Amino acid sequence: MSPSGSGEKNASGVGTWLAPQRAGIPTPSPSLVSEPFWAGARAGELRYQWCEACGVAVMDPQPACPRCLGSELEWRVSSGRGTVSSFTVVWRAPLPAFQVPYAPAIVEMAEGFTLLTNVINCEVDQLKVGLPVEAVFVDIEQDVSLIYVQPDEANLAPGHDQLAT
Amino acid sequence: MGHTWAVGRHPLHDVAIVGVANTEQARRLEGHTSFSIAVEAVRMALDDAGLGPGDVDGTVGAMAGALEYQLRCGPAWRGMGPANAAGVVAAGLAIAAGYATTVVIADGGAAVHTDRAKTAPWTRPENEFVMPLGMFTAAEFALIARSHMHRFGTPPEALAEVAATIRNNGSINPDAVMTGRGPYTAADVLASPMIADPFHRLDCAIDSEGGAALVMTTRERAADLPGEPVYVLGGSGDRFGPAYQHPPSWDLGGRTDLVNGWIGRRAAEQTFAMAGLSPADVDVAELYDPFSFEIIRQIEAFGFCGEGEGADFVLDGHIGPTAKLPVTTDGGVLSYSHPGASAQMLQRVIRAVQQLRGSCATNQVADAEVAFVSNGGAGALFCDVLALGREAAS
Repeated sequence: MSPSGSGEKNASGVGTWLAPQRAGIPTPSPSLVSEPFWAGARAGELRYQWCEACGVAVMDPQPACPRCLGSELEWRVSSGRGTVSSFTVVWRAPLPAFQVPYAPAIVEMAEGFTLLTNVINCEVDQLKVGLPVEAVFVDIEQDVSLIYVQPDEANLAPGHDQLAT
Repeated sequence: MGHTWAVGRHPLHDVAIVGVANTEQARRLEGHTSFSIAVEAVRMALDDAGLGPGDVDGTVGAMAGALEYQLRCGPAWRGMGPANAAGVVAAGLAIAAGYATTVVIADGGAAVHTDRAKTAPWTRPENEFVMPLGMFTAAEFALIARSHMHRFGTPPEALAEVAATIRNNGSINPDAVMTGRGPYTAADVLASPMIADPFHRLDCAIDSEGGAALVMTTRERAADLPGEPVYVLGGSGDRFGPAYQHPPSWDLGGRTDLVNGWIGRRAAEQTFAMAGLSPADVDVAELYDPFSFEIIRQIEAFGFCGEGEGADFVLDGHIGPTAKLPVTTDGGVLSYSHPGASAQMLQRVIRAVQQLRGSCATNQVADAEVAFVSNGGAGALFCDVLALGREAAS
């Protein structure tokens, strides 16, 4: 993997490598319902909720199952593996604290829930719908970790472009 | 869906829009607050209607409470939503049901976006599952656009064609904030800096300041007023949850029937049923254009063309000011104005009224009888629509 900033530069000197963000960005204010998710992020686990009665995986955290409204949701730990279903690359950030480019994405996780995150540790032009990814945990500041995804090299289909090294 | 109304029997058919006004729109309006510019719009809209503050007994919008006091119009009915197309439906139903006789719907924005290092405040919702990930409105709508491009092969050139068409409508509109900017070609749009792929700068809404207001009353009372009323033929809205808190995915939780990607379709079907009309009857579509792609999605969702055919519809030249479906004829939020949280949505309704009155200084659609209006979009998990007519539903 390339270190941050080693990708190609465009005319304005901005790289094309997707790096994690650093301290200074807005950080989450967890609720009673979401706190286990964020605690999981700090512990290196992608936690999601599971309704045993319905067999439904729930994300982002909710007080009840969306199918039966039952409140007996159990926290489970995801494999972290998923597939990008949509993505964008942001070149003009909403706040100066965000380093561009970065790549918000919707990922369909193996356990059946949907995760909104950013794809990191690859070049912008490697992004595509269907890209296999795996969770990666990044400490942004003390007690704040974000769950990003990066290309899952083990699950790249034969013939898929090799990752930058 | 499923419900049909005998033409002329829907409660909305008992009301009319009798006054509309936009204040001056500009990048900055010195000396104004959001409320003061909204009040100016109300004064202008009441003048347009031939009414005064004493005639008002209902308000809609985020400033409704302040307006009640400003107008000393209490005891009044207050609509609990924003001043937009949904507010027009709420006011119309309240008037039809006898809660109020004359309702003012108003909003404005001024001196709100002051930190220019950041994008406008309304583009940056604060939520633990979006803000740390750098999400803002451009990224939310980009995720929906990408899904459509992947499903249907929609090319970036089609998005650029939408942006160029609507921005050119604003370019010739002397009242638009971006008047005189352009004309643009699709190539110009594609050459502008990338903001949130696939959106270039010219694919994205501007931000600006201004006020907008609209006055509604009973059809009976409208007949006694000096102006030319415009009639509500139908209106509805679709919602999937709070905007900008959950991933704006196409199918939102695995639904396969009416998915988020087609948000607004149910509302449009209801609206056409109320009006006794079909998409082919629409003479002008004042659609909400926060990002260019949203127009392609909406014309498919509302039935102006088939699923996945929006790009060809646009590239074949069908949304221009003299084409079969003129879209967003004043320049919309891409060029006319985007003054804050809801005034720019109400402005789509106002433009439709102006089209049906035949009073547009630019891009007047000849003999426009039926106008279709939209607000919102799939990136925001809501979509409201209206059908307005020069003639009342019979």
